[in-house]
Amino acid sequence: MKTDLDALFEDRYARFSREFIRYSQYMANGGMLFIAIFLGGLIALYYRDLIAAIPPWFPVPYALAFVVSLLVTRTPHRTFLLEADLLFLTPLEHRMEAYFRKTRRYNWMVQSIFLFLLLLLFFPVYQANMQSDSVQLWFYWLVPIILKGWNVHSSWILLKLPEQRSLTSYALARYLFSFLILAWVFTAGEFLRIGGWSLAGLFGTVFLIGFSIQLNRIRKQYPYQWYRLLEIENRQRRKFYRFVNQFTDIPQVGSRGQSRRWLSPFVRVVPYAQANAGRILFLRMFLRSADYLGIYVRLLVIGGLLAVLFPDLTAKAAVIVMILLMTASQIKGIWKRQRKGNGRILFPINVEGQKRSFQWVCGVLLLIQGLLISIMAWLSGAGSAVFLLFLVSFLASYGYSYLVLPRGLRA
Amino acid sequence: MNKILEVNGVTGGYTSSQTVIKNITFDIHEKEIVALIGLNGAGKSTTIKHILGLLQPREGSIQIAGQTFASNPDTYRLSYGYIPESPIYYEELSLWEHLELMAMTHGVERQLFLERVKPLLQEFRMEEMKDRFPHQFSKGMRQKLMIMMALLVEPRLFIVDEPILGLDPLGIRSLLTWLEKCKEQGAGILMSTHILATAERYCDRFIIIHKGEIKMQGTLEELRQQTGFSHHSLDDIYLHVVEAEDK
Repeated sequence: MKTDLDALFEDRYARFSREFIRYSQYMANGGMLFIAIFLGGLIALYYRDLIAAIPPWFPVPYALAFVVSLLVTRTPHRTFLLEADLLFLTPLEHRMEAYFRKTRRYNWMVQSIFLFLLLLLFFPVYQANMQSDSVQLWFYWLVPIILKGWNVHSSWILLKLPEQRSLTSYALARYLFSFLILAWVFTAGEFLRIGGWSLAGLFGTVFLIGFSIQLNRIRKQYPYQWYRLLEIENRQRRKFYRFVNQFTDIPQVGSRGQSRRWLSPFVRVVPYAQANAGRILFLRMFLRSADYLGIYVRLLVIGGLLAVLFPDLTAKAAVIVMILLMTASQIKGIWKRQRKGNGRILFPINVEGQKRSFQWVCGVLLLIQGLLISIMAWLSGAGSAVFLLFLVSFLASYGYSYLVLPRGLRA
Repeated sequence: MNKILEVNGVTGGYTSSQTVIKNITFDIHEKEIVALIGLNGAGKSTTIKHILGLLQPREGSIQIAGQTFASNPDTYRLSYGYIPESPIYYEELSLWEHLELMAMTHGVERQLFLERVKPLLQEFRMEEMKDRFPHQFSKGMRQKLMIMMALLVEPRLFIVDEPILGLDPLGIRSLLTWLEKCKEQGAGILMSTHILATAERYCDRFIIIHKGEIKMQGTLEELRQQTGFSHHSLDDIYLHVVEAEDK
């Protein structure tokens, strides 16, 4: 029987789309979205002031190129591959290019949406700092999207490389090239202009030719790295499910532990004792999982930045409460994960003990986050009002962990 | 010899409408290894899940050292060591942390844990793996993690579900020698297995379960007397019992 790879892609894509639409409905009904909109509104309120506060010496186009290049270069490839494909699709490797061309097109489109949103966010900054004509503005929107396409195309070919290390070097090269082009475009061709010569354009062209030759060689030399493709797909899928899991229960959520030895001392603060087993278990689950710790740190950074940037004390306090609530709704996933997995029958810790341990871990993590955001606000000149922020952090962490959370912890 | 496990007339299954095991009755005493043998789907794992307290009997009762699950679930769960057929583990915990948490939840003092864990890691050749995560292990290594976790807390009762599958020959020898040592020290062991030659060599008594019911139980000598197969192996007796039932 001949496998129809076009139909296979359509089928996988349709299945994911249905799933996405279904989960989007849950997300639209969730409280997280409300908090995000509220925080967005707060940022919008101060955004004009923030732009006006950018000092004239600040190199806006280069800073924009630096940040936008990060998103342009980051190209995780969704392929919709399944575990069983290692068995069924590998014999069709020579015909898979048509299938993967479609997945590349899909990735380019989806990733361009996020890129567009980032460009939209920075557009007022760019407009305020550059006297740009309409052609220049078209470049602002189009060049990053085209560069994204090039990055998706080239990073796909590079995924054939067997060595993970060379993959990192090539990613760095892609980043530098993207930065070079974007800095050139955002400065309206002024970047690396010496005399009448645009060196950025020249370097860019030479790099592109050299890189294309290299890509062509790699494309012909190596087969697909199936296990890597599957690993990337699974990682992306897990990320999606983990995100949606904050709004509704998803059975597919899984996570791989990462060693992170440098974080072990934090767990050792909790003494070895039968009564502490639950606390240690949840603390380790938090510190080891890429997603929970990652979200915690990202929200901490966002909260810190906003607390520093917002001039008003009430706004700083509101940021702390919002960020802690967002973090709390994410961390709650650890409880769901623990209750759902087989692991819950592994260690004999009773349900009540587990609940108490989880509340404690949640409270401590939120308090630390709140205190760190307050300290950042203090360093930026909040003065003695920081004690008020400490108090807000304490009340929010305690209130959530011991008054709100128990109602949500089901056995 | 004191009874450690008493299973009395247990009938049950996964749902109230479906009966998987019927009127199961047997005991396990101190210092004995008892094999639970049967075909796939015979009811071995369902029996074990009832003993673990994961399923509740519809009829009959189960006691470990005189306690039922309903009377005190916490102490009941601390009274046995379980080695599951398919390894169960946390993705976020390393091998060492699994062992440490197991000792912690069973109230084993830290010093005692350190004393016990070293020889176990050596015996199962897992010393170099102690900081790795189970998802980096082969199936056999994950099985060794389950075995070490159960052995570490030195319970009075071991419940071992198909322990040999996936283990390398050295691992099998280590497990069986270690279980024999535990038995000498007073533990009772219930071992569900398909490997009849191993069961015959290491187990003191045998329970043959077929289609959810116990068809025969006793020492090898007693089984021989019951079947009239005076010089036959456990393998022959077992096949005879199962085939006679199917006819």
